[in-house]
Amino acid sequence: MDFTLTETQTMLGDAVDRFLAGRFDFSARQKQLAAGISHDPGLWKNLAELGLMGVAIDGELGGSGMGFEELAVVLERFGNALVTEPFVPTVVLAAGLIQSLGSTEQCRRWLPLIADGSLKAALAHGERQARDTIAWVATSAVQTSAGWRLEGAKMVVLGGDAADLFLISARTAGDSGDREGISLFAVPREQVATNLRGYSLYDGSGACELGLDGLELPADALVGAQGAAIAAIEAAYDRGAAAVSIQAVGAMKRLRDLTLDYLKTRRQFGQPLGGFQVLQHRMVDLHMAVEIAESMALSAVIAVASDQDDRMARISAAKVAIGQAAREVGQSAIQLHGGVALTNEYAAGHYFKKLTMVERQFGRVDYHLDRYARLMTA
Amino acid sequence: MNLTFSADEMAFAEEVRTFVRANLDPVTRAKVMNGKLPSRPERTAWQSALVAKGWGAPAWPVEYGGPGWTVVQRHLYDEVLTEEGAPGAPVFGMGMLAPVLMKFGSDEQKRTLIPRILHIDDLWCQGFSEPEAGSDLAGLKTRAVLDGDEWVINGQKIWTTLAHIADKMFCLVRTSDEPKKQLGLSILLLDMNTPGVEVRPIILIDGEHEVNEVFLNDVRIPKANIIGEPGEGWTQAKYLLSHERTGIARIGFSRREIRRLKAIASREPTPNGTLIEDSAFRRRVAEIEIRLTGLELTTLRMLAALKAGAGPGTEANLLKIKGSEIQQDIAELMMDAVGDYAFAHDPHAWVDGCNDQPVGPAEAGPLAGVYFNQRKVSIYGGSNEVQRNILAKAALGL
Repeated sequence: MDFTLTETQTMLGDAVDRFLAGRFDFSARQKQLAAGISHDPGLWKNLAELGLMGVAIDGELGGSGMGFEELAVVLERFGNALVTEPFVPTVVLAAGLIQSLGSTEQCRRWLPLIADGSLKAALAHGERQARDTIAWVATSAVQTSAGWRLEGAKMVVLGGDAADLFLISARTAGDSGDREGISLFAVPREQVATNLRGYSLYDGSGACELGLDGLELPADALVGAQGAAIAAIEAAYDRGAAAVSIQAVGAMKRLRDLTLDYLKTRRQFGQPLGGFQVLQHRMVDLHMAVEIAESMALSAVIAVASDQDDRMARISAAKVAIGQAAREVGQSAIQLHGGVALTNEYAAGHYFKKLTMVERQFGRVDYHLDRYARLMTA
Repeated sequence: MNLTFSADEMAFAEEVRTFVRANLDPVTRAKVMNGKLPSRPERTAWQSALVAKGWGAPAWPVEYGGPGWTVVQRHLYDEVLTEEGAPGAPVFGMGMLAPVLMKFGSDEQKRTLIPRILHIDDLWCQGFSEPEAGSDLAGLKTRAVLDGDEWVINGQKIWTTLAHIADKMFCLVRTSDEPKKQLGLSILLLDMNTPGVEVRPIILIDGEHEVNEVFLNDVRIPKANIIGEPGEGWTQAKYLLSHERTGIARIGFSRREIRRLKAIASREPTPNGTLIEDSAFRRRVAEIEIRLTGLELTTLRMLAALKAGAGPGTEANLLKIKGSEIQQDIAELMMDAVGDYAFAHDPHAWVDGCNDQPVGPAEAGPLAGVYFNQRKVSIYGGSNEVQRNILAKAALGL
């Protein structure tokens, strides 16, 4: 066992920390949120110049050819600073899907643009009826003389408000819940712009609703083999689960620091709040939850590269543990602070909102508990 | 033993229900049912209907216009009104200040202020908490000094609910320094438009404006605007806060929210039908409904003891803790019921008069915000930690 980071990973983390401290501290974030902005092109460009978009993209395609462990180092910092940029949709979901399903030509067309920061992408997969059933796709794609025609709608597409390219799942065969018959299509923003509604989420990040009625696509819009995208989409969702888990750890650590500092400095009844045993114990429980969550998030990060059953079991285990920890840490931090944590101008409430969302993204606790129960050995 | 209401009590509840359904404006009702705040004219119109019926102040003594009900009738009345979507009574004036005026106020205050509270001619807010005095309320620093015929007030209040729309504030201030700090406090009454009163909004994490900071700089008010004598403020405040916790369990509200939760879940599509048919979800709803039943029976058991003549003890502390936990867990379940749409933050779409179509079903929009906001109920009115300390000491003798 070795939990230490490589020298490269340590340097990467330090570089991201330094950059965010100077460019995206809490007051900068507050200004951006007040302006209703989820994505700042200038910030995105800076992050790309640091090489962060291409961390896991091959060297010959403009990246630095590292892997998910290095991405995780970045993601933890982003969670720590509550970065709202569409990094998970673009780099973790879309770039990964293009790498795993795309043709050589498609990889060469899009991955260098993602790596240099000039292309943002989103995975448009979720639908109204699906909830946590990943294979539920009612959107259809019918072959035409020119290519494909799509019918359907996609909801809460993460990063979709700012995306230049959408990867849209649609059914080319079978019924709504079938694993077989799901295909993936690459669609530039211009082609869906009239049926796109962007908006903000409660954590300050962006999303969109996408209407696809009668959308005509050329034949080469297809990414990967026809009807066989589900395994790659499931893998992308697992990467998403691992990504938000490690982000959650970054957020939890910061929230732990804020709460501990408040307990030590806020005085009531002639002593620091931290002098009250009932608050000490709740703070200790919060601290223990963060420690367990960090261990489980590291396990999820390593599991991304594992074979399918092992990957799914370990990521589900991690998502259950982190979901439960995110709830406990968020709720306890608010209660330990009192009213101040519910104000918009204080940071704790923003971490609470982020943790509330992470608990529910890429599979809720119930979903991952069921999946783990199915996969665990007797 | 009989754990049901008497025939008379049931008939009374039915009478109240019939009256509400016949007299409550449907627009007002719809707002309340969907978690929105009714406007002031809507609240005043409803209060006028209640006053005309003789039900305007159900907890007040008959001599001030109360209906002379038993504790059980009052409980039923509150719960039926809430279940039917009636606007809540103006809690700071009617539920807190008026009982204090009746017990400690001058004849002049009783004669002039209490009727205006009943008709909501005056909307009151409560100036208690301060930046350095939250759970430790007696540590407050806002000071009032007598200068001739006037009190001159300087200091700052925080978490002042509705200060931005209130006409008046009752304000707990320090009027003298005593070895025991509780003994130097008084309650003063002031107009919010007095020079030197400045209200600044506090925006909460759901993006809403309901609480404020209130700055008091050389605010001059008449010497007579004090309740009782200087130094009696702490006794009065404790009396007032005991009224704040009456009905704090909010059972009718939680019942109504569980009904709304089931309605939402029956409209939410899943791969297998609707969410209300999902066994895991049903178990979560069932669990919370059972917890609420336990709280309701406990409330009724405690009310029965009060009706039989037992003095008020620590019931309110227990009901506040358990009631707040249930409210928070219902809010969480409601947010979960609408899936990912809970996190779309387009507040403008559910403000009155906005023509934007909301993202997702209209009912989903506010639900995450409500969950975030409801974390306050285990903090305000004495945090649940403080409530447990009181129970440990006063109920269990620890």
